[in-house]
Amino acid sequence: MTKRALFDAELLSAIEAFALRVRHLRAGPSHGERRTREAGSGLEFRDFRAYTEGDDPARVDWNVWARSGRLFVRLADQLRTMPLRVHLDLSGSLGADGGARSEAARVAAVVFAALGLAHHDPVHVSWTGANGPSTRKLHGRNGLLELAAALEDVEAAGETDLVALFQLSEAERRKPGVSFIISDFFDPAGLEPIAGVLNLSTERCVLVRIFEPQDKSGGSFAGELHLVDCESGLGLDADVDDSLRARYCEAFSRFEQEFDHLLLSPTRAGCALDATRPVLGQLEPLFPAGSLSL
Amino acid sequence: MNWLTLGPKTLLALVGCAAAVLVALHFLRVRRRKRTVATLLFWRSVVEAQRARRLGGPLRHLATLAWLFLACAVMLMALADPRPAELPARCVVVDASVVARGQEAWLRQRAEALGALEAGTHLLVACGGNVDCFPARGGLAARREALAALTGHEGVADLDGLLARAQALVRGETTGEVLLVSARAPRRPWSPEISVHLAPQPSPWPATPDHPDANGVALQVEASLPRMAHAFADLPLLSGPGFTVILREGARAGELPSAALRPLLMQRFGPELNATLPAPAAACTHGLPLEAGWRSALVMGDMPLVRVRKEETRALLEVAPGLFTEGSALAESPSFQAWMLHWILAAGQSESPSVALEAGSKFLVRSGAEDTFVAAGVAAAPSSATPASYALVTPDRAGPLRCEGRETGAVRVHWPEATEASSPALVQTASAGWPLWIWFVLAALLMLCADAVWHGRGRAP
Repeated sequence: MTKRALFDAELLSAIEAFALRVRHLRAGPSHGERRTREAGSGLEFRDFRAYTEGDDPARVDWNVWARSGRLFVRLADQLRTMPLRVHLDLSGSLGADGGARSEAARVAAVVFAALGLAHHDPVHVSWTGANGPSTRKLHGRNGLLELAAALEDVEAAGETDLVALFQLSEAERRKPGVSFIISDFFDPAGLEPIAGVLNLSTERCVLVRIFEPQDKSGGSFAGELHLVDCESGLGLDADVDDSLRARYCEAFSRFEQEFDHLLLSPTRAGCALDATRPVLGQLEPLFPAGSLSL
Repeated sequence: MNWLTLGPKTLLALVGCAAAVLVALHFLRVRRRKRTVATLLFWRSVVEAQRARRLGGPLRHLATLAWLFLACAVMLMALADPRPAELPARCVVVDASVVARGQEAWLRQRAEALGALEAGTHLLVACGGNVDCFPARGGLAARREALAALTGHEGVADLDGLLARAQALVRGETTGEVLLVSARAPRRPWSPEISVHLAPQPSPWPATPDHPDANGVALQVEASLPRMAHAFADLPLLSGPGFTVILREGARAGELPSAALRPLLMQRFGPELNATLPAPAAACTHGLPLEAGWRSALVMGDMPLVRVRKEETRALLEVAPGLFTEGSALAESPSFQAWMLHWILAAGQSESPSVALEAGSKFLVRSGAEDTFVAAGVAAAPSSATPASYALVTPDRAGPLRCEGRETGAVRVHWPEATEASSPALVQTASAGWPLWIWFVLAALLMLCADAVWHGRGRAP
């Protein structure tokens, strides 16, 4: 996928319609545009509070004192940045079948990174691929261009390991923020390991599952085949017929249910993206009324 | 079994080729197309479940191969048209007509030798115009009594009708044969199922104006050919009066005494026999000296009727020119025909692989249908496990003949329409084995089984 396709002006303008809101955000170290739950010394008025000893006299509202004869202190929102971490899985399974999953995953990563960069939030993007795991810290509008250039040449390869992918930015995750995991979730170990890691974490997470329609139907091939896993190279002899395909669909349906079960936590959200369709249109349900609240 | 008249090596080669093709096709079928998928995560679970449900599991391919081998074997069986190795249904027909007078003992002995008193054998006894039928499941005592009371009755039984009745008795069986014990031959064309055992005649042929010395027939045999002489041992005609057997060895010749004739011949000639030959001086009184190269001859008076010359690859049987003209009494004599056939077959059974008949041999065959020749009287020929081949040469046609089923008493030879000297003949033997379609249906069922195993339909999901 080219940088031009990833850094598409139309795409970027469409992203502006989306917003990310995090409830009860704790105050971070840097000033930013996100409201925190603590009151601070920002410009946006939040409330009055009775003056207590030790309050800054500069924050006393003298007009109120003049009308009521009592001392009140003006409270304002505390605005901080909210770190965003995008975990992009570019394992071999995403590059299989023409690489449509890989392209959709890259687009989704750019979209989520743009969400943070639009509010001057620090964005960490980590991904796996043919060259091994990589991370990149993005700042400002230029960060998006930088990300598009970095993702352009990454070849999807290697085995899917969601836990390792999630732990790539372990140090960054100590700060409050939101993590985006973009993958097909075809982890040979299944969804249990990543579910365990997510359950232990208090972090807000958005899980984006990339799929193709043939993943659901089992493909159009039939007969006596030697199926080869594109990641591990392991083979499996299968006599694919209607009955086997029906059972495959059942197994994939169970996988989807298991994935949906991961999203039941109030600190998590997620969606499934059909790689053969435009990504932005499918993200709209994730942002009801243009905003994703976590 | 009749394996397409193929030899064991050829058959093994054919089976080997078929098996090789089958195995090659099987492995071509087993070889799978490779298909790369994004993940095996879901396929693995469902495929393992499918294998667990499937009959045979991992051995399915081997089981399919085994089924295919079985089907192939059945197809080969079908092509080979095997015959069940069971005893043929048998019906012994004893014709005790007036012509058999004086030969009742021979008829009785022959009927018993053919198994008339054995369980499972039908017995028809024609006494004059009356026919007594003893079914195969009947008691043996009644049969023994009927044979013991066998006498040449007045009247002549309808032999052809009798044979037709006998054939009807054995027709429902898988294989069947009719053994006729009689002093006369039936008129109808010979049937493959019918074996005729003729009573010995006082003379091989009746005296006719053409052959006034018919009773003075001598068989001259080169004594150094014991197998040849042995071939004539079972000839019933030898025990009749008017026959002499002269053994020759070089210039020596001697006539065998009739009392010692049969047992001597049965034991084959040996050195002790040569010692019994008279001195050369006495040999001049016995028959004609055999010319160089001729091993045996049937001599009537001073005229050789038939003589046998053994060559390297064949025995040549020569019939006196003009002796057996069309319609002559000698040519029409069934007993003489049977006897001649004995001679031919016996000669063919000797060291030479083939027998050639030359001029005047038409009388040896009876035309059942066009291009079908039935030779009769083979049952009395010495049996041999070694199959012999015969070449029949008549003035207008020639070609090799294959004769089989001699144990059953009849040989039916089919001579193809476009017969050339080198064209092999096809043997048609009477058989009522399993119909061909049964084998093919069986093979188809086995194929279905293999297909079911292949697709794992053996067990419901």
